[in-house]
Amino acid sequence: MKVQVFVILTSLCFMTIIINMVRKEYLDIKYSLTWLFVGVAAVIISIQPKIIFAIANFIGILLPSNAIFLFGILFIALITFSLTIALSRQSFRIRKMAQEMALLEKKIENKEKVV
Amino acid sequence: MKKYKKIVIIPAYNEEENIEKVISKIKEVASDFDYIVINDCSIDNTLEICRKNKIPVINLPINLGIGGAMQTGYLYAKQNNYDIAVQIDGDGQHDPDYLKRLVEPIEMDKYDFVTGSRFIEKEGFQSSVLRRIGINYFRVLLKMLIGKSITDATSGFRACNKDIIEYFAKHYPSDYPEPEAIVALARKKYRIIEVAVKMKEREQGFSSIRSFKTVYYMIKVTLAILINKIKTI
Repeated sequence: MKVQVFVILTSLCFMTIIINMVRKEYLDIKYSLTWLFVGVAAVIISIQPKIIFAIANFIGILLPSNAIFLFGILFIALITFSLTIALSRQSFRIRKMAQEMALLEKKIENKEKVV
Repeated sequence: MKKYKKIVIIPAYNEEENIEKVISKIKEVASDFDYIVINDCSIDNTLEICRKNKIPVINLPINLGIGGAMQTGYLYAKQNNYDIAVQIDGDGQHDPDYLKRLVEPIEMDKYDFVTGSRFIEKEGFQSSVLRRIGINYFRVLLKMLIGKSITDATSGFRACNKDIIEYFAKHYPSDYPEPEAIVALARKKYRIIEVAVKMKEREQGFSSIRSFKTVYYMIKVTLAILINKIKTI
């Protein structure tokens, strides 16, 4: 019982902080979605722990808490990996922008020489 | 009526088939408007065609999407001191014949922001069923949030005044920006109106909204709109 209350309060707190950061434009909504989803899932499972019991049973895990840990770890791995992908993409884009800027500067320099 | 400095901003991604037609129509029916194409890092010949025809173009070095591209246009409009900025999509769906109808409420200082809706008089291309369900969804959502019935919140055919140019140059949503921008403007108490326009069917190429990503988009945009409603910037 105490655990459930604790999880619900912590999740709601977490989600409020995220939404507030998006509100102040500190956080991009695109990247906040997964975390909001985690918060919602945590609240739902806290209210109805039977869901976890059923899933653990179905997969063949003895202790439901082990199922929570397993999914928690898988989820974090998934999020981390997707962030790695997003990071790689940003890296390519920054490289392209840096090159374009440098070439632009050269173009201006050449034009100034002619003048 | 005072003389307004007006610009048409044309965001374009892979519109090599349509861009020349759009520009020549603007030059033909709206010669009192300046225009600028924002090339969103197209991978086709959009840029080359603009350069070949001496069409003023801003060439983005990376693809930013419609939000980033339009904001670039607003930045340009702000830097060059324009009084009115109009968005026309590069795919030829928006008819430059309606440019005058779009800016008139702003020139008369009755409204700050005018958006063209194809559903007021229900003429012209009415979009696919799926798209219309989405547009109706936004109409209901926006009615609840801002009290106004916006029949076509996703329309990219819109005009705004100088204050809004300045605002959009600083704050413009990135994904599916059209409905969210309206919520932001309503929140900041700008005067908004919809006018009836006719749109044409997309002539060539592909729209950037695919139906299988729709549910994800709807959730993301709805959340973005709700959060925008409680913003203070």
